[in-house]
Amino acid sequence: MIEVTYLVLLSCVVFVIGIVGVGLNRNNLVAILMNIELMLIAVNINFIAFSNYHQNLEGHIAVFFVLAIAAAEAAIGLAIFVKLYERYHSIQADKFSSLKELA
Amino acid sequence: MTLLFWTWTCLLAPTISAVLARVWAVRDACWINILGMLVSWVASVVLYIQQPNTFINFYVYTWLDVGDAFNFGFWLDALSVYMAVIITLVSLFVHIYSVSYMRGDKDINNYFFYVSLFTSAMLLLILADNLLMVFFGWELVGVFSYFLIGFWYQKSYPLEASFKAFIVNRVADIGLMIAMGLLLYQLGSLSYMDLTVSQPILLEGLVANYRWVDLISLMLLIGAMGKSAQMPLHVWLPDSMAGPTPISALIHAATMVTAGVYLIARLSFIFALSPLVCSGIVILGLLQMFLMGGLALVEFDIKRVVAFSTLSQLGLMFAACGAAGFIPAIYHLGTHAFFKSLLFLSAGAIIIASNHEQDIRYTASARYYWPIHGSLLVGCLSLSGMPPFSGFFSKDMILTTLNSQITQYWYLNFLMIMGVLMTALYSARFYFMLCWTPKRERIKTLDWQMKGPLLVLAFLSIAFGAGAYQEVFLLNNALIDTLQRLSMNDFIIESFSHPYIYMVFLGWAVSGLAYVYCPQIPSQVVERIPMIYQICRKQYGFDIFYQNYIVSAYQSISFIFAKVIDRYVIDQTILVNGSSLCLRLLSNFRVIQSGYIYEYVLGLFLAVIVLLVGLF
Amino acid sequence: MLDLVFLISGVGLVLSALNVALSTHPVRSVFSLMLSFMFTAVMWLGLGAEFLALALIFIYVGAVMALFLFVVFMLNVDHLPRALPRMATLFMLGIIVSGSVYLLLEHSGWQAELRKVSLNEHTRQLGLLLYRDYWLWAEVVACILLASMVGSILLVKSRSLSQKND
Repeated sequence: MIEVTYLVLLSCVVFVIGIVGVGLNRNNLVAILMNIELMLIAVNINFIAFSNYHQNLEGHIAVFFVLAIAAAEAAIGLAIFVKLYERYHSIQADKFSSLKELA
Repeated sequence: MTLLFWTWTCLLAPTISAVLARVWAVRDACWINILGMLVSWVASVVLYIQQPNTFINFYVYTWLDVGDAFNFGFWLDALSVYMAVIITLVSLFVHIYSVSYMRGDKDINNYFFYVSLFTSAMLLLILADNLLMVFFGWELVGVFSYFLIGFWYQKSYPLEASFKAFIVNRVADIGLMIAMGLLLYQLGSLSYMDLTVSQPILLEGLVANYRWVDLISLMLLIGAMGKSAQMPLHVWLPDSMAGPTPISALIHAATMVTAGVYLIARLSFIFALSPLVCSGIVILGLLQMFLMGGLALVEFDIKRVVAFSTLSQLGLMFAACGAAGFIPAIYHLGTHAFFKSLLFLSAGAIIIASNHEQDIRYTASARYYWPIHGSLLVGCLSLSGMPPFSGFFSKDMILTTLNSQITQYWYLNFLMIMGVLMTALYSARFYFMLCWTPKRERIKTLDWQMKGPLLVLAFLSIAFGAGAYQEVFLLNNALIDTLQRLSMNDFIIESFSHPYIYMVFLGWAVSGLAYVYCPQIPSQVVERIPMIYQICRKQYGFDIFYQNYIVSAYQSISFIFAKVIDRYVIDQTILVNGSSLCLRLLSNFRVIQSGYIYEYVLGLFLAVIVLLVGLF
Repeated sequence: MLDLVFLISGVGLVLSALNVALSTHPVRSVFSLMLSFMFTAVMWLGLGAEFLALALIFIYVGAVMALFLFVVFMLNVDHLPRALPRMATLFMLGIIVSGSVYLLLEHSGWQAELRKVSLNEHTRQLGLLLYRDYWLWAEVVACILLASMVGSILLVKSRSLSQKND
């Protein structure tokens, strides 16, 4: 029988994979954004699991809002990437350092 | 054919015809609108003939279901079908009249579009089965009134007048909205059905000295006062005469301004619980009747005279509602719709005939031109309540009802007698000044689109009162009313036992004396009491007060916000100083933002580990 | 039966998530992410969140991921070398964290089985909750979505404007 703990563990694993992915793909901003989506989905799994456990729909509301905000974030993020690519012909995160204080 | 079908026909025929005519938009497309109005009128007559004994509530559509459901539906009872018949009939005649009146105007298609849609909106207001739908109709008629007052938008005066009407009405609508919210809060629904059923809750509250109902009826009253132009929210109605004259007849005399009376009558079961507000309505209504009558007596603009008389009659209707005389109020609403639109349309005919001259001292004489002379005479006699014209029946029924309620307050009785005298005075003055004073050139002849409506409305102004006398008691099914049901004979005999009827004769006699036989009397009276005359000419200073205290206060507050708060507080203090402060405070934290994603990820892990350790 | 569904979708989710993180080819990452959303949606259906599951598929897989794919195609990003030396460290950390969560859960001895769900009333209740208790937040989110729409259009459109000015 499936328990809530398994789902919590699953979401933890997916979340960690997301973090690792962010660390690995620093050369590619789109990939970073995708890994962030992965992390968000892990959090949402948690919400839904506990919503099921407590028989309370407010968790669904939270997921609903997370999904909506994540969609907004993806749209804005991708638009920014397009602009960046246009300007620097690259989407490597490390290359954008014009705001950085000179050491 | 079911009742629901006829209801839909009545409501939608004007809309559909308006859209068709607007799309087609040829020169004579307005006849489509007239056809639509005719269909709508026929439908309303069918509804009247088949009207239910108590009421019928058609459920149409659930608009919102958020726990409390907001439905769309129709509510048919004696009150709503009576109103529907009157509105469609007056609207039909105004449409026909407008064909001649607006001939040659380049926006004539827009004009008919607005008028037909206005009629639909008004019917929506009347036939709705809940207050939310009423509110939609309420706002829609306000919008079309705004469009039509400002119809000649190239001139500045109609534009300003339309703004004024719109804004004053918004102020009052806040009252209606608050009342709707309170009703929703207290009774949990806005449909008439539920309100009727749960009205005892308000009664219980009243017994427990928990006076929500006073607040609710006060707010409803404020809403009704705006639309029905009661003091002190009446200032928009005289200015709304800037629109075309048929519009004044339809919207600002016969239909829209009576929506407030309709609302109070419709929610009579709520007002009945609040004697406080009801006595306020009586006092306000009688005051309005008297004061606005005084204004009509000194005004020289032909349309504004009729507008002030409308205000005065609306005051009378409100007073009747306050004294629980809902049947007389609605009865007077009907007769008033006919004779007042008759007066407006004949005023419009005079304006056209004397080449857009609106001052009654300089308009062309209607003395020897019988269509106008006759309709003016009938309209004025009916307005003043002369038997056996229709105004007599309804007005006397109101006065009898009021009389039985306020006998112990001599000042109210005095006010009422003076109000009746005033009505007779100004209506007789209007008639004598237009038809009996020696005048300028011969009037032009009118075409049948003008004469026909005048003739029919004159006939209705004579016959409607007596003809509908029995019918009007059918309203008993819809309204809480304790009216004593007299036969017509007894009613007439009874009315001669009150002083009011003699005041009407007196008013006509005095007026005839002053304006026909001794024309120097008015100016002598004015010289005697210059102060009162000046106050009346300034319309009791309502406009000046609003301009000097409310509008200019609002403007100076906006000025302060724009020029002082925005510039100095927000721009300089918060934006400039605040941002530099933030910069200084936070520049130390820059180190954290290394820009290396690797470090951020490590930070994330660190945070997770700290959390876990905390949990262990 | 349901257990089997959970098992398959859980394993599938982890595998496809790993592919998102590890794949060097962006297009593969995008498709793996779509796959992981699909698995998540299946899991949510089992948990009684049918509306959100369908929303996830329609909005995410259908719209947002299409946007991702579009951007990946448009930007023409080749697969780039990744920082190999750090891979080991990251995985070590990840395994430590996951393991400690597992230990924590075991240690606490908390047991809670999932409830059986019926799939017919939730959407309606969710709607009622959203528009009655959380309507203000729904409005706020709507504003945010509008702002993001306007923002992304402006961001991308300003290119053509600046080019015209040049």
